[in-house]
Amino acid sequence: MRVAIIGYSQTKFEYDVEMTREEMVFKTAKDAIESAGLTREDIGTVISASTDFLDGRTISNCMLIGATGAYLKDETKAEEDGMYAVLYACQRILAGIHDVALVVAHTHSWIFNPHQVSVYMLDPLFDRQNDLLNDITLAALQAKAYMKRSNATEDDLALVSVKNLKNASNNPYALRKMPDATIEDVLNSKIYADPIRELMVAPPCDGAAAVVVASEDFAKKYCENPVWIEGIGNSCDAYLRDRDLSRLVSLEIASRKAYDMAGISDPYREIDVFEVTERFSHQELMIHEGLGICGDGRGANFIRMGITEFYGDCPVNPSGGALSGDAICATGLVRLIEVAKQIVGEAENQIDGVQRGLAHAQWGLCAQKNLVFILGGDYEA
Amino acid sequence: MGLIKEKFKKTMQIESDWSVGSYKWKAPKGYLDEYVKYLKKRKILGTLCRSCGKIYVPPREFCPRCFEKIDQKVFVSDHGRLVAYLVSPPLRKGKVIIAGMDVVAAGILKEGEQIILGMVRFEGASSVLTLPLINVKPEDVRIGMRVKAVWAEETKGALSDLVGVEPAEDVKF
Amino acid sequence: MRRNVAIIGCGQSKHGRRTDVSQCEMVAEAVWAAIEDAEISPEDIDAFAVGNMQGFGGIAQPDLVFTDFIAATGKPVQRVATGGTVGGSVAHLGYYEVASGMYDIVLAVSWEKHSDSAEPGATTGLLHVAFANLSYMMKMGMDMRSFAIMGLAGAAAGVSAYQAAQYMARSGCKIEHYDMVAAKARRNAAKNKYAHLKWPGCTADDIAKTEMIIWPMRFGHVCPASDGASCVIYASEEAVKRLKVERPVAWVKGLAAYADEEADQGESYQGTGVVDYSDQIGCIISAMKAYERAGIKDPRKEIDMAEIYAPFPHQELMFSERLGFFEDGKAWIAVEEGVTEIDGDFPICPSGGVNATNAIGSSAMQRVVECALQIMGKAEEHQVPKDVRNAVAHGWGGQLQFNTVMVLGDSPKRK
Repeated sequence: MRVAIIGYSQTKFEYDVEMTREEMVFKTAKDAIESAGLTREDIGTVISASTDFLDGRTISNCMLIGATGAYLKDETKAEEDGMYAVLYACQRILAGIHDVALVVAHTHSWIFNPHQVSVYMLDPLFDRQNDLLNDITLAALQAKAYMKRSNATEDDLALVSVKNLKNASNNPYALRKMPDATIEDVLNSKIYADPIRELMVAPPCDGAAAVVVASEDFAKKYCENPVWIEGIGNSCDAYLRDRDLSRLVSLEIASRKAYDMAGISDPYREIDVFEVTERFSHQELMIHEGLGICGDGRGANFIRMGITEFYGDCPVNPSGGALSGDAICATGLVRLIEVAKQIVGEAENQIDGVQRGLAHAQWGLCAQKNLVFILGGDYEA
Repeated sequence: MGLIKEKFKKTMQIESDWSVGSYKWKAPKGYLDEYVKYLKKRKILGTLCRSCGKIYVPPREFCPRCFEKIDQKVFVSDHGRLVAYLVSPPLRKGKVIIAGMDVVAAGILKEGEQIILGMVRFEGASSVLTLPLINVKPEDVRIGMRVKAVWAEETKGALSDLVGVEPAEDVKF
Repeated sequence: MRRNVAIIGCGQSKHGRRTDVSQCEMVAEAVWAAIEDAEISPEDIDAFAVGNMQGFGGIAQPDLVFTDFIAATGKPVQRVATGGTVGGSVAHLGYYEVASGMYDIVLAVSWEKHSDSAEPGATTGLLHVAFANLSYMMKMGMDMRSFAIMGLAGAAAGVSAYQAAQYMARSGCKIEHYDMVAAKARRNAAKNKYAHLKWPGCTADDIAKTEMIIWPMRFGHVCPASDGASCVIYASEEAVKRLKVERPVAWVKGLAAYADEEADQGESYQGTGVVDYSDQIGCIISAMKAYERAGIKDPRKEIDMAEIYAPFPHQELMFSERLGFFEDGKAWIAVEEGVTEIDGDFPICPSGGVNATNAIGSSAMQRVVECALQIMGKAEEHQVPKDVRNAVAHGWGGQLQFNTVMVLGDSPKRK
């Protein structure tokens, strides 16, 4: 039995948006259900994604039951990226207990800066006593370690930002767009922690996204353009100090699992578009290697040769990626939606003839956890 | 303890305090702000959901049952019924600590006073409000008794305008 | 044809005030105990389900900090966080991970480390459910006196105190029945080596002598704030065969977690449509759905015992009715008749329940553990004497609105 995405909705990513989180979540949930051509009665289970620390509300879902459409529904909340909530929704459907699930993810970064929250993700006994550590300084350590191990340079990091910020110009939902971005712009932007500069950091913002997923029977009956979930891979690395920060081992594991499930042996050739969650530019290059689409240590080659441009051989983040806007819990879910849009033919930077796409989400400091979804359209196998 | 074989005889306690910033939240316009505006006029405001007929007090922006945004404002009665109640013992110093503060020592609540907290459903409302039940002795309180709103001497358009509720008529037994 | 899923092992840490361990070590205690109990090795575990109420321990994503303490490095991990029901939510998540066919053996663990908070009890985390609202209310002219009055029930009892008053009004029970249930909890806990508040031979009079916090809630009714972790290991039917498990295991037969609207107040102090906090429609529907999925038609006859999530004694009475074991308003009669004692006809919380041990994040999972232990005959001193073929593990939380229900049995569902 397979599971399909039959509807979705995303909000424009803004900062200090003129909406309460309840208003934004309601709009997204309602729009997603409508886009699937359903009503709330058709939904069997609702899984939301948000975090207490970011919302500043303990049990961040308890006052959103009405807004997420979860009133008297089988409901729960994932406390990580929305794509993990989609994974859980798939499990509820594959278990044969539900037919249709709604997944709603949101974060309003204006409430409390996620970079500040990152300090609370540190181990309290040792790392938190060190005032210098937060997600940005740790990313800087990771970037240095990666650059040492591979052939990547600061220019390559800047190229990732240039590509994604340019791609975002066509994306009406993106927060940060720079149609004329240059390497100099990026390398001259404010330094946070060498080599991480402002334009290399995904900007935290306010946003929400929702998808409706359904069982194969339901999707075939009620949806004209289902987007099939063909492979899923999930893996969690050890904590910060206990792993090799210069590689994304958990992404290697997760992507192999997803490829196996989808029957993919050559991802570079068999996957038409990639939407990945790059919280920092260097991470996009590390993701190339983690996904196995380029050789070890060669992550920068793709960006130099323009292979990952939206007109290139292996497009990565045609939507602009997280560098164009990071609404934390909604960001990975938006990557999933962008791939679905590519398959259905509704993406802004639409790539020709997309049959299969890969969506990636990360969670934890320096991308400790990685999740991969492979989506495919209705086509003759 | 299973596979963990070592037993730790001494542990060290580290005390620390992290405050990395403040939270900010947003509230919807036209809901609680309207509610307090009408409290000044000694009126109790709610929103009506036209699909299910429920009236939420204080005003609610979304009806969870109908999954609709609701903004039709209506007044409910200032008379209602007592649905349930709690009774504090006579208050003493050192017994009521809220957010680190001894509220009796600080004079916020009076030593020796007994607070009755009532859950009140004003007629027309589909919600209950928790309000002090005053001008009545604990032993005279009955579930279902009719109560009416007690207003501040001078209403200012604040939540404190609605001081509590009291029995709507003399209780005779 | 749904995939059958069994609990092949359980583990708990000792619950209580655990200043002898860090959060990581405490969770590892439960995890490794479960791995031993399941007679597997860590490599056998395919995936993990984790969760707690993160505010208390002061770590935003604790499972990321102790990934290797629980042998999860490299493995798939999914986290849920739903407040008081988190243990139940994690238990449900673990089941779905296996039932989906994605994994064969899944470890589900949930925990709480209250003693890591500066403030006593559960104050820190629970206050922040409504802190945003309270800030807004202060801005809208709520005065200090009203704020203080609202806090009379204490942050730990809080809105539950209102519920205790409403349940009493609706059922006609007396405060003495609350005393009886609290005494039973402490008596039972004395037989449970993992429990926190043990009081062998505790009577209703002992509880009645404790100080009144706010009528009808006495000090003796209030649960402790414990530290602890609870863990179960799920396995698919094929994995049970493959591992050649000969000993009894507990099968998950049905589960549901239907959410109600929040009680008392919504976002930004908006009114809600919950008038009677003891209605618990979410529990009624969750139970109905769980029984349907488990093929149970008459819960009172077919279920042998229940572990109900009741931090306060009125909740044991209330939920035993909503779960279908007694008629609305009649649970107090069963208590008077001793029906819910360990050796009664329908034992409820033979472990002592949440009233005697409450590590919030762990408590709902501990209900699942306790039911599994009873079915497997491993509850030692607090094992109920009657045959346990089916049991119900219940979790509760949120703003009085969340309920998780799981039906477990000694054999898999066939049909």
